[in-house]
Amino acid sequence: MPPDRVARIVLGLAVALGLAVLAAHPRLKAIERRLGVTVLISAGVPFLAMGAFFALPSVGILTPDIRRDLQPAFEFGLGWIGFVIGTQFNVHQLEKLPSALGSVIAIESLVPMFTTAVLCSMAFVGLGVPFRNVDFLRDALVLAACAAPSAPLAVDLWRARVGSKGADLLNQITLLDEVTALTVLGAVAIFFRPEASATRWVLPASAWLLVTLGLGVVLGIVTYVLIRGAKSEAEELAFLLGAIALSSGMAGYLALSVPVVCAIAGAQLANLPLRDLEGLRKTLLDVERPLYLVFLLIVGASWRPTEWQGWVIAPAFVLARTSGKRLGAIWGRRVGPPELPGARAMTLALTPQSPISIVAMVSAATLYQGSHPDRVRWAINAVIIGGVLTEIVVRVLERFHAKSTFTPIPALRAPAAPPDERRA
Amino acid sequence: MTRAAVVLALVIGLSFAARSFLVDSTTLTGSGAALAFGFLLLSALQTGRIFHALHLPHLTGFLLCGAIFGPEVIGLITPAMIQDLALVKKVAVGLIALTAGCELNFRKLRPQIKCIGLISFGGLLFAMICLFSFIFGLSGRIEFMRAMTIEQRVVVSLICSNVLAALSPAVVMGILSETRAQGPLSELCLSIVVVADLAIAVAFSFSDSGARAVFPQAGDAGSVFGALAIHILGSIAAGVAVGAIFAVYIRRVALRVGLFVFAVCFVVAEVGTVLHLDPLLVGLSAGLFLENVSPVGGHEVIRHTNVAAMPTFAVFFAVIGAEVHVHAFLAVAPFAVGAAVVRAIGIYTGARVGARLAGVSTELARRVPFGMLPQAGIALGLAGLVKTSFPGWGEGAATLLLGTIVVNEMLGPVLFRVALERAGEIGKNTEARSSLEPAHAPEPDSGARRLAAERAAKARADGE
Repeated sequence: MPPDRVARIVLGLAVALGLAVLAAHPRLKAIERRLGVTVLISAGVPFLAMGAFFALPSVGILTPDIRRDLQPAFEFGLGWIGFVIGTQFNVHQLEKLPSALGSVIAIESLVPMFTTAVLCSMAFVGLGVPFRNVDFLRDALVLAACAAPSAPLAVDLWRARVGSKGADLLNQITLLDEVTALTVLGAVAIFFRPEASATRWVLPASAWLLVTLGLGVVLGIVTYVLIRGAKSEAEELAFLLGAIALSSGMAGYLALSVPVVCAIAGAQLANLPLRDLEGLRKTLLDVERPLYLVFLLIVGASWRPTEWQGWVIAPAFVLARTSGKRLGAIWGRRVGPPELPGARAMTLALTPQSPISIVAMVSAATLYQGSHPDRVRWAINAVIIGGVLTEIVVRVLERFHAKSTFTPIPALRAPAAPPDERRA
Repeated sequence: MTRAAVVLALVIGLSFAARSFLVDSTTLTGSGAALAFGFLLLSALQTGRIFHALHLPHLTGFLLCGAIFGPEVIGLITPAMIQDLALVKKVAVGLIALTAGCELNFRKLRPQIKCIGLISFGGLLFAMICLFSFIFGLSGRIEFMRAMTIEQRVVVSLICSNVLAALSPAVVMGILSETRAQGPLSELCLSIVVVADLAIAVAFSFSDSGARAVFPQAGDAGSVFGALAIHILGSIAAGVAVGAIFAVYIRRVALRVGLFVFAVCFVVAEVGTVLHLDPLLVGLSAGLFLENVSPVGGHEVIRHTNVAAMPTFAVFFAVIGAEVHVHAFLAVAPFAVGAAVVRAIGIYTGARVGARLAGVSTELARRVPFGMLPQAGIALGLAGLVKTSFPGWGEGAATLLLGTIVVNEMLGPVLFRVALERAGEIGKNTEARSSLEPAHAPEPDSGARRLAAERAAKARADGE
């Protein structure tokens, strides 16, 4: 750290970390809900931009030294987010949902994945990437995984639009389509192992599948045993921190997808008898947004928005994803429960891109940073730009349809979070 | 204890299995710091539980766990991982010091100032005299001092005795926190180690200047004194500024205070490296400012950071343990044990004399020296400084110093805990206890209650 930049670094880091904590303020969340914007737009993109700005050599706040110091927090953040996704997979609660909803979730996440894989592959070919290479398929699949998750729903807003039952079903879809994304991401990490000569294990893909599942389950059981034995709130937090760090550390060390292994552990924990699972989830959610924003700050530091290839792939990604979500909504509406809202409303609710897309992309990037790093950067660029473009597209579509279909946006409520408030 | 042992075995097994994937010191993604953090946190907590069941301090368990799995014994944690956890350590030390500062209320301590001063002075002076005599007396037998002149031996003995006289505020705070101790002994020990820590830092600047005059190849004599002055005063000034920021945040925002405190400690740790600020002094000054100057009481900060205290202590002391130079200790074991014994005698005698002059009750005077026995961070830091500052003999001296610190690091917490137990102060901090409410774990006696209810129902049925 150059001494002449110390004041700047102090100020920059203090501002960034302070804003990450303040961005979780209930009032800001209330404004997000009121406007119906995702966390990606309200705080995510600003933090990415801040990270990119801070990393500029002329600014020199996020220097390579500081980024190295933040690396454990980065891995830990991936694990924490994966754990949160996993804890949403509570079998007891899923059993209460209409059985046809499973097909809807599968359709509305698999169709955009398929369209994204096809269209983004075409964009890659257009950019001169040789499609016979095995990495080509890997990159297309990672982008496809990023297309599945939908942004958290502004439930209040959607209750006013499509009714309570419909909004709740849409909310469940947005909660669970992330699992599909992580499944694909996990499969990619298993079947496309990073090249390394220093490894002692030489295992077939099927064995890596077992390792991934087994590791997740064992870590979930370890977490459960630890938390059950906790004698105080402090001890419980310490165990939770340790379990997530151990899970993310082990997954990262074995070059497996960190959020996937942690999600399996989280799902395992959510399905074992804990006295206060909701309390545990609250603890996890409480820290998630600041952690996510610090994560985006680090991602932003290695973001190269000036590389034009990302801007070429991004429209293809948005087009494929939006059309896929639309097709998925039409098809899903046909096979889904009757309480589901119309296909047009479903499209608008499920098209905004989840912040988990960036998590999925970056998680894959950490595994494959040694293999075609330029393509990895393009893909990150595409997903980030895609998130912003999708928001614009959704806003345009909403304006186009709002007059005839939707009730007006309700007035700003008190900052207290609704009881079913969810991540980020 | 059985549960802790089983979980510990499980965590060790999993970590060993994962580490077997790669050749040592190579990684595919990241550095393995997250793995090291998770492993050290969980294994240290489990070891702490086992130690607790054996009536030993958690803290010794944390240290021992780090030492065993660290690079010099089993090697599960590599030097690269330890290096990457350096920042975690600095953040932790800042937080520990902040909490300690928040506990020290000058108004309450005013009647004890004479007592604190005399005991600190007596303990340090006697310890330094005894250690100086011991090292100088054995200088003919110590490898790196054998070829030195008398004058050089005097200076080196002075430097070594200065470093070895250092106490450990972090260990004392850690023991007080884990045992929830409160009372005259706890308060007095905490104040003494904080004051003595400052005195040692200042004294070291003098002895270092003297050593540079005798060993000219080590560099300019004045620079270190100046640097240390800047280091101490700068750290205090930075601490006051940080305290003011906390006060404004707590009064104006009051949202996620714990997280905010962590974020600020991170910034201080990052920048402190460049500005040569001591995170311990910064945290301590911030805490003292909050408790004694700002309208926001220090207990407000403690309340918000209380829940994070346990993981902080566990990781901090496990990392300190992992940094223990086991090989260095083995190389100088007889001298190191001798120096540790001499230091303990010096501290005990000096503190007793100081306590008698201050008119402290005999019971209290007999136990206070035990709070001055633990050693850790500051002594390790000064030993590192000796090693790098004095090429030629610095390395040999550092080996002797580190060996002695290992003994004090392991035995000091045990002895201090025993003293607290004898004084009847353990578990008296009711404020700390009130925050220890079970959260998501099953109710501890739910199984027993159900069993009792079933038995009662069965008895009723039999009776009918």
